[in-house]
Amino acid sequence: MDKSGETTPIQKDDSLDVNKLMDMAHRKSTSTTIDPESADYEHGEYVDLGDGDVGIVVDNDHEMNKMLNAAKNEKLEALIDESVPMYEKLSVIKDSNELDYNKLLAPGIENGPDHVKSIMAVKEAFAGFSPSIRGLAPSDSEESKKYSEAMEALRSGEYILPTVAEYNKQKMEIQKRKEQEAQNKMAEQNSVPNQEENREAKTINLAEMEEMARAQQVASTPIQEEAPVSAQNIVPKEVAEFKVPEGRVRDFVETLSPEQREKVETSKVIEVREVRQVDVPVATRVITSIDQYKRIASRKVTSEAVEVPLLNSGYVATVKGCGSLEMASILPDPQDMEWDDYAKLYTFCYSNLVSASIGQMSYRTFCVKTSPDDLPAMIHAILRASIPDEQSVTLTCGGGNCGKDYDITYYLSELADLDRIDQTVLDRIDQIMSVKNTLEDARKVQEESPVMIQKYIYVGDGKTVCIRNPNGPIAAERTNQAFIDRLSSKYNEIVVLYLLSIEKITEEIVDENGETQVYDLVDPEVIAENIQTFSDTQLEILKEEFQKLDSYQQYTYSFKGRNSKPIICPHCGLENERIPCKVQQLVFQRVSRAMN
Amino acid sequence: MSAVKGQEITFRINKYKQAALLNDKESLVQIIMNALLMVPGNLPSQPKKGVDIFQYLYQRVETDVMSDKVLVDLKYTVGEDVGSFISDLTVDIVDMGGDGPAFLIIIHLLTVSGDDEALALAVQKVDETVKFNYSFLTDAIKNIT
Repeated sequence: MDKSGETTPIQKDDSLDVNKLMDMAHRKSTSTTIDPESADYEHGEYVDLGDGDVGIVVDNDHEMNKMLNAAKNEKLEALIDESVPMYEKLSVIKDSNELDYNKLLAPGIENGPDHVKSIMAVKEAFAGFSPSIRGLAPSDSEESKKYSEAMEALRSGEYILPTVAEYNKQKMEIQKRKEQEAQNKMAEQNSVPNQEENREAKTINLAEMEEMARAQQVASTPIQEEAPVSAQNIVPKEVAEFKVPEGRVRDFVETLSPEQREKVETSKVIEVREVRQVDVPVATRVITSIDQYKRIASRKVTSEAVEVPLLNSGYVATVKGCGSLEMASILPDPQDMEWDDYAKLYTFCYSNLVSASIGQMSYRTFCVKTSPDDLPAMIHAILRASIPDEQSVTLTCGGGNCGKDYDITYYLSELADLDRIDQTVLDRIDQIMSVKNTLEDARKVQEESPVMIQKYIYVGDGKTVCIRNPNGPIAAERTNQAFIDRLSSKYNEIVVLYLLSIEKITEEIVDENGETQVYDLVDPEVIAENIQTFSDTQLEILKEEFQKLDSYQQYTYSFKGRNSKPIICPHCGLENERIPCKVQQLVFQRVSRAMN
Repeated sequence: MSAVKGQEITFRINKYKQAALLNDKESLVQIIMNALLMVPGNLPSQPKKGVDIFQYLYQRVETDVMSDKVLVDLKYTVGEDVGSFISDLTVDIVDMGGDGPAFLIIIHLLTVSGDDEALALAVQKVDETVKFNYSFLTDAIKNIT
């Protein structure tokens, strides 16, 4: 149905009145008087049954033919121009209600229009030609007969057309055959049957047919005089190539077989190429920078790789082991056993990162997407990949008057306090692990992780504060001691704490012209300066929002006895269910052991 | 014969730049029209589907016989989903004079709620164009029967 007014074969026509049709349908069913004197029964024969019943008997088939012919005539009339002789014939035929196309198109074509005559002339001209492999060929030629036989064979299904490979093979075989004939001067013509082992039908030799056609063409062209032979016109038919060591041509010829030597001696033209082998020194490149080295150094994992789900970062990191020297770069401060340089931690973790469930990351992306809270978990995983699981440590008993040292054996893989993890953390681990093999889903989970969440809080006075959980750049820049000391002395320690969670402040300032300018404050000192001006209410708002920043409780580690048994001091018998330890201590222990 | 959520889709765009859909009644009429005009063989995979209403233009059959045959063919062609709503059908050929004969098809429909509904379709072929019109008349079935 098209209501746009365009003409389509099926159209809704509102002028076709349904109600009128229904009325007419009602009236039609009433009786009609047949008047034998009138011409009402032109469609049939008037019949009187004699008992008072009269009617018109309609020959259904006849009527149908009449209607059909009328429709056909109309269409044909519309197609034919009045000037065409056929038009008159049509008028005659139309009256007799017969449509005989043979009569319409029969003799009289010579009186027809010019274009028809020219078509007939072309048809006669081509009458003597038949299809062949090259297109058209005389009907009585061998080429067209062979072609029609081949087409007939194809139609019967007994033969099939060759594939491109087979066709090329046929051509090559014909070429070989010709060469063989030329060499051996034998006139045996082989038609090489091509047989495909896995096909029942035979293949037509297209190449053979083409060759025959070409031969006929050559035979029909007149022979031309051959051009006089001169030295410049000679092109050697066979070219044999030998690589001869420099200055050793004569010796080389002696080493040839008799046939080859005869060829060389009887050849009119010999081209000699002497070659000399030169040893080229192997090039070495000098590496001058760490970046160059890191680019080419293999990141192939040769030792065991360990997977660790990172809770706040929201992805699974696969890390490899490292040597003690490398681990020494992240040695914590021995005084307080705390990490003092997050930048080094990030570099260390990144250099030992093999892959992540969210795909390959650049260092910058890694820093942005990894929470500093997850770094201890990564370092623990790197430790597990670097050293055997079973380790020993010397502990000092803290019980009463004992204070003696004793050694215990612990297992790196059992250090994490999995029984102290609450349900939210377990669910989070499930969530991260379930999508670790699907890149899209893993990225989705990562993007919604605490480390990526930013919150914008309008605190009034045209100031919008962007807060977040600390990520790599914030941790690296704002946790190192020098920074903390500088800002603490300039402002105060509380401001430094705030800075760990504030990414930037967007402030609208009205200048002296009354125009509002929007500024983004990202430098920590500038942010600190700005926070100093906050009112208590604004600071309260910020503090509340900081508390609402979600992050997951981190793994804790402790030494435990094997199979969850308590650790017992052999001297005083003091039992400890678990002795807490930090990853920093493990790192320190490993490095100091290696250095001593 | 498929409809999107009970509505036929057209090739036009509505004012919301989406494909224009026909409403329920228009969709039903379109389905029935398609079935009436379809000639068996139009759908190669369903060679028997199609009413080919214009074949009856040249046949002298009783109206009852023609109506029954058209009803059976129509129900078969539209399928069970729509066919189950078609309970009865009457076909008549009316001579419109200058433009030739026209079909008047009255279809008695049963709606989901059990109400009676009647659809009167007028179909006429003028030159090579099929023209049609329709109206829903709840009382029509009462007048005819």
